[in-house]
Amino acid sequence: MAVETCSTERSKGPNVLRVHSFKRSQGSGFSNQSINTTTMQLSTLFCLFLVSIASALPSPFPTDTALIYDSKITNLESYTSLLNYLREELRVPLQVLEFNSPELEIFKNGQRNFDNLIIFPTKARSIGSESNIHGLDLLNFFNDGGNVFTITSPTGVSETVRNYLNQIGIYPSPRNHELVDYFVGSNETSFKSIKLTAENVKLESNIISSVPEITYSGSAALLTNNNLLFPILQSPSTSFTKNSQESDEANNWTVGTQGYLAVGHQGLNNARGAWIGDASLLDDSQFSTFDKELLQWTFQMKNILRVTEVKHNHINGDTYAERPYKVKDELEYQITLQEFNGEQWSPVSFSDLQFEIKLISPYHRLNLSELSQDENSTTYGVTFKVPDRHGVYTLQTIYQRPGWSFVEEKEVLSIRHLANDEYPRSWDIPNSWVYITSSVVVFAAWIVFLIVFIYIKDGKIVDSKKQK
Amino acid sequence: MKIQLLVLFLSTVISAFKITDGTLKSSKQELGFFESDSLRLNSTEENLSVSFKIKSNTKPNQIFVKLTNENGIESSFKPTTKKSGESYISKLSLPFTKLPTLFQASSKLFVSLVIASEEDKYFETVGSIENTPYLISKSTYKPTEKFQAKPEIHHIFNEAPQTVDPSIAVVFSFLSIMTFFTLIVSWGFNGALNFGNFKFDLSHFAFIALIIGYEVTFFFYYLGDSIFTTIGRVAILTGPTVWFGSRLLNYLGELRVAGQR
Repeated sequence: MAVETCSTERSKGPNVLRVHSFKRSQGSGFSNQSINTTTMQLSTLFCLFLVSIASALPSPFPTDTALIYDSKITNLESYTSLLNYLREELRVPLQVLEFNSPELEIFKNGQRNFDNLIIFPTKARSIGSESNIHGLDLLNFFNDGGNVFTITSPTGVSETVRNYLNQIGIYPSPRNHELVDYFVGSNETSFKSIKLTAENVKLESNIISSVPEITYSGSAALLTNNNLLFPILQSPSTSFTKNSQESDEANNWTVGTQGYLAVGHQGLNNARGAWIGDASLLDDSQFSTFDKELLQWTFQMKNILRVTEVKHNHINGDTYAERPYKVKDELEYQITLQEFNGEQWSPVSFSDLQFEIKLISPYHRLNLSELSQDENSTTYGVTFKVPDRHGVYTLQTIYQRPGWSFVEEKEVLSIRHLANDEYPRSWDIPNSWVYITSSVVVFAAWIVFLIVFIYIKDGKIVDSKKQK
Repeated sequence: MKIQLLVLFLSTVISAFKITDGTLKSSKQELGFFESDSLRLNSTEENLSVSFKIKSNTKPNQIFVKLTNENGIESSFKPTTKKSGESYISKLSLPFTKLPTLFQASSKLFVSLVIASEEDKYFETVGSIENTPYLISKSTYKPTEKFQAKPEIHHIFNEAPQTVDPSIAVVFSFLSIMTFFTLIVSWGFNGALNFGNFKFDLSHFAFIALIIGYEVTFFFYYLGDSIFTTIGRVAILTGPTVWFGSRLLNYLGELRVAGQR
């Protein structure tokens, strides 16, 4: 019988998988053409079904990218390492566009035209062929699942990018404001070229894995307390921003460690963005692992989590369908996760994964422990007792940590109360023993009375009747 | 963070600036720079003042008073600076209510000066401030929610209903049984336990068995049989019971007429 296998690969379009090939191997047995045709159609449908599922998953693959730059302040010849990395290592379909190019459309017919944007500093107020791309458009792009990598500099920060960043909670320093640290170097140039140390790197953001060697020369930003922002580089304690065009030092956008130099951000839709305030971090002189990791993270090529299976059942293995849950049942819950590490789906170890069972607020919030691990996934689980209150519960695992794509698995289930024959019987309750014993005693006494009543012969009555 | 604090404490950069007449002042206390004691704040009405004199021919480009809490979180304030002879006098007046709420809830704050120009630098911790527990309790600071593991919650189940101790139930059950035997014995003492009219008649035994059958039926109902099963059984028992019952009553009636009872 003919056997079909299908494989899939990501097309060049955004978030679309297409059927790549059908390999047919001939086996022994049936060779009926109609059966083969039917089988092929069913297999095609099945593959399309798989494709439709897969296309809804977060993308771990290279996708369409637009690099937007302003040739007045950015010479792309200085960024060959970046471009080579994007094209050859990440294999990103890349379009390099001037900020005012007529081809620059981030939406076309209402659909996102790119998956990733890299926006270099621009001197112009807005980007787009007719200055028609505004901050709101970038925000819509981000909200639609697109990733945005923005770079500003003291001389190049457009209102488009500024408005977009402000909406997210990043406030880059105004035009001409640059970071200065008099405690490094000994001349005007060296004050503005700040060598960052481990103190300035926030590895807890989980975006970069090691302390990079960076000489920073650019702007700084203030951040809101938005927990969707993940600071990566922080200004040195003795630094501040000042306007290079004014001698007056009164206006300082950031002072000390309240200024940030690189920030990642991730929406609840798992779209990602990054901002850095110095384009020279990406040029050939400084292009390093830091930039690679930041690009990979922003384009959703690392730290992507995926749930492959969620399972819950009675402690003896009975499922909800077989035996619906009721109050105080002992249940076990399992969730299987995998991580895309830039190359493949692999197991991932967490010690802070939590499970909740809740009505309006959680009744249980329990830490999940690692149960097993295979070559590409890790299974976590916990056993728990259903609360003693019936209702419609949500079983959920929400994992939101800096730098990781957010996982949200929810299932709504009805938990029933005890049926009238599932409560303890009266003889299980010691109080009832007295009543049960008394009932039996009354029953026995009644039988004795009945027998005695039938066969009794009262001598006195009989004698008195005889005398009469 | 600890390293940052260490840096703050130890970071005295080679300095040509001379800082003199440095004071940390609240409404009730005044301390000079580098004193081991801390300035204590105990009221939201307090006003923190920092003043110092910088001996320099030119005005430094950077003059900040930096406050840092125990966790290394810092905030900088720019003092007003005026030239006075060959020096610059800097003053910062900061009402307690103008402090970041995080600092209002911090038990200790370190005060540092960051002064720099192209030629000279000065960065040193010059004193500290302590907020009293009373003042901290007045703070409205709420930590921002961060993505992290939340505290575990274990549902507290309702306690099982309380029941009497089984030994007490057994004692009272025993008393109930003893009451039965007392009744039987009392009947015996009063001569009620005699079977003078006993007659071997199957209809009598059948009637007694049917009455026991009713009791058994009710007992099975208690044990879990359905009401419909119970009604069915009672219906089956009713006919024979009426039949044998009438036979028995006839017998008793004959005894009464014969003067036997």
